[in-house]
Amino acid sequence: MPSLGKMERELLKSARSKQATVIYPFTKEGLNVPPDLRGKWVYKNPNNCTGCKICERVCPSDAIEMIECRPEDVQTRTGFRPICHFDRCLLCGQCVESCPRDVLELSDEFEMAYLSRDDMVIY
Amino acid sequence: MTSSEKRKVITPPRVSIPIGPQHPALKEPGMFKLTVEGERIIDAEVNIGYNHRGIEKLAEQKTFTQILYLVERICGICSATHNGNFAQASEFAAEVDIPDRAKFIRTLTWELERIHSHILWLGVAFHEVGFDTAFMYTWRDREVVMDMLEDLSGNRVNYAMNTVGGVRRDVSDDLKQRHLKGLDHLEERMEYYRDTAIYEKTFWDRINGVGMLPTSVAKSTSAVGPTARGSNVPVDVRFNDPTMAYVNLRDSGEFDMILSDRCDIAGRAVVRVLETIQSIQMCRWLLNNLPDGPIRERVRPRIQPNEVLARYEAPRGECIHYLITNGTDKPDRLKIRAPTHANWVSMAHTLRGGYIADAPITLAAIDPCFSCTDRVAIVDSKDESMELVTLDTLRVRANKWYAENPRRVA
Repeated sequence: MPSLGKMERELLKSARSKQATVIYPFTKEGLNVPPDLRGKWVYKNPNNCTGCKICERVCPSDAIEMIECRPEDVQTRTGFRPICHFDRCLLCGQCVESCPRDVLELSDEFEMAYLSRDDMVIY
Repeated sequence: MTSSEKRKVITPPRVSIPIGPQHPALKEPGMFKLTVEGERIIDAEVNIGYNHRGIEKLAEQKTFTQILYLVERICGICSATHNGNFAQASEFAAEVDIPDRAKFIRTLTWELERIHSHILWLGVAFHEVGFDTAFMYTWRDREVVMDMLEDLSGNRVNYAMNTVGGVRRDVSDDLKQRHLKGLDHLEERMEYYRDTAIYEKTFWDRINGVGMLPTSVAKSTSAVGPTARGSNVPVDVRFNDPTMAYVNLRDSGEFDMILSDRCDIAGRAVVRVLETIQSIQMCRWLLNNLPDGPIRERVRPRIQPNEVLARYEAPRGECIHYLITNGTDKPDRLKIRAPTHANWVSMAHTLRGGYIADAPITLAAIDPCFSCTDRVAIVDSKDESMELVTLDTLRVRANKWYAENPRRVA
């Protein structure tokens, strides 16, 4: 039998196997997103925030800004709360790690494309 | 009928071909000036300096924790290299000993990264010689290790596993089982690619005897990593000067430095493929012998005045972080020497005497990473000249300037 080369076995195996790619925007099955993904920056327990500004200080890319609490927000002890300029965020998770009160979280949301920088400020 | 009485021998003229800085074949900006005579490369000049980002200067203005994420972004493929090596340097400066479990997990990340980097290189090498089928297959199986790294650290590329004083994430039992399963799959695949690389003639004939780098030249040009080990120069920080869990790996006696005396690209390819299989075995050993205990030690943000040199065998060769601390939470100086910078000089040697068709694989054989490497470029605005200056030249110029302008003593 003529040989197709070193990779013929691989060729035959691939011809029988199912599709390797995922038709992504239409289905999210088979994406294998790990449970501990460092995804989008969100508030986990906003009520715990004291406004201590540690997250702002440790952020390597100056993505976190402390703003004065607006009337609709949870009022913190110092009167400040963090917002994230997500366009600058590196997703390193140092703010989550440094927070003494478990306020912040990097969720498992991975779709982080926006049309405008203004949409990327997370309150 | 053609008459062939007088045969004319034409000596082809010498032509200088510039490749880059912007060229479709280059993934990153670099400049290669090849002087060719017909098909032969007579002389080669390799230049860098188009990708300088000032990371070392920026590092002087950030705290140690912040620099971890900055140096991680020096290079996309060696992110754990720079991140871990800087963490190591900071720990040396602070003179703290991190827990054993943290050492093992840090080494595990490093070794997983080596697997992914070497499979990437193998795919690129297949691609450069035109064996695109194998390129697709190797990169498909690289996804396995990429997924493992994502599972371990939470990100595909920038792992951010290390912190000053340990690691940030623990390895659970579930994760360990998943990784062991993934490693089994990878080992089977890598053995297949080893056989493909060695026994497939279309690939082997393109790399056999191409891009020669004799042992003496490799030594005199200070080549590092698989480039040096492919030329039979025994340099590997993991075995010569081990840190972290490499001490345990060396003491286990199961692992030895992989060398090849072929001195050509085939030697470098064999070293890389065998090292990948060795790395898989190292990862399995680390997972099976993972000690219990804490994963991090608290280190004060202000690090005492100290001057340290941290070495680590990155996938491409020895990576050096030289750190001067001054008692504050920011370093005085951080100097990084990436492996490509050490291999750069030997690249011109490997190009000379080869054929121009072999130039892409010869360039790829050191696994160059321009973004790791770029240094100083001096642009004169008066005559619009641009000149790349090496460290030695800068030092000579500095000495000359100081000799002519002695310091004023009050």
